[in-house]
Amino acid sequence: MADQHTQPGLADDANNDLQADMTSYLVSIVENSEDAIIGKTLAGTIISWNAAAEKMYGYTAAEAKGQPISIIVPPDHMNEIMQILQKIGRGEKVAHHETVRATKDGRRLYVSLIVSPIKDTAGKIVGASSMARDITERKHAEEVIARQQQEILEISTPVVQLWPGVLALPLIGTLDSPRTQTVMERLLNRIVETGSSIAIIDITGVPTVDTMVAQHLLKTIAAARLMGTECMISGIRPAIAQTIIHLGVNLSDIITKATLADAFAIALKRLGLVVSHT
Amino acid sequence: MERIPVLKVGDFLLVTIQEELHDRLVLKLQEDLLARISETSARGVLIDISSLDMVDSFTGRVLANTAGMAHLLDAETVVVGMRPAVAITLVELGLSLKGIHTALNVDKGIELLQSLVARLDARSDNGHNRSEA
Repeated sequence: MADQHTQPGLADDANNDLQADMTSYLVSIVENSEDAIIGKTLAGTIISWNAAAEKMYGYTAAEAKGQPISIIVPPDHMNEIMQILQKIGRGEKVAHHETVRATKDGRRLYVSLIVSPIKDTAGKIVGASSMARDITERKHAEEVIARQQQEILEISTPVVQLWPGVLALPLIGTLDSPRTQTVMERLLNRIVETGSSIAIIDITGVPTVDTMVAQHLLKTIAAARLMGTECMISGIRPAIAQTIIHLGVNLSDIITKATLADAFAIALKRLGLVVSHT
Repeated sequence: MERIPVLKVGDFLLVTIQEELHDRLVLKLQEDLLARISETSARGVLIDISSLDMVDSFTGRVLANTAGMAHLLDAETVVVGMRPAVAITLVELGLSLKGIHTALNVDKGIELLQSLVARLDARSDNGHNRSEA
């Protein structure tokens, strides 16, 4: 810009041509972008609106220009837009901000925003330009994955009541720390809900037991005991018995039974119940 | 000075802790409880902690010690109603309080106390040493 003033005559025209070329070139970049690019003043009035923005939000450029930016912001996100504009006014950028926007027909879109300041020739910040990418599909996929993870966690850790006062926890699959945490909490909560004085942890479906898993089991059993419930472990396979002894895990304070049936028989005996043939 | 009431119910003493325990209060409870055991010749103590959200390691240890002391005075102690979160915290702190008896609620605690006392009486009738090693 500075050399525009220092170079007179013909050079000035050439410069203007170059600048005009450059401007149409930039306009073309903006117009053909897949991301919605919107320019607005610091007060939030829309001044430019590209084709991708038309497609994404449903307003044509003619409809959008001159409107406040709030036409694409859902009511519960109004504060956020003001905060972003204030940030821009201070010369800061907003990068990869994930948020929600509304379309003309009222759908909600998840978008990833990059907002940067627009400066005039003197370097003064006069507005903000935002680039928005529609990440709705990704967000939905993430939600599905999170829900499925939670479901797997829940399916794989059922606590069943075998008899009034007797709970069983049939563990299936590999135990890792977050899962064991869930198992532990669920068992203890069910103990309180059902007032059960005996709980049987069946590990028939657990492929391997390592030191961490053994520690978690011992902790669960200790916590249950503190609440006044006795725990038994059933379904220890020969290979797992070998591992437990090789690892030096001490299960000698705990009642262990070969099968869930054996443990259940002990539990009934503890409750003073007898199973008889009629 | 604030204190936790110790109620006598038949042969047993019942303590319901309803406020958060600080160190001084729990020591005071220990003292009061032992005094009441010796006054009343109680055979059992029920400590109900179902309204506590939190038990720190000091309180845990004092409760375990109190149970040991009460045992020397011929009274068994049962802690009842510990919440899952409290139990998990104590275990994570490495305090599994092996020396104390526990029960899910006051009813089950009384049952347990009765059976403990009966077992002890049977043993001392047989002339065995009563202390459980």
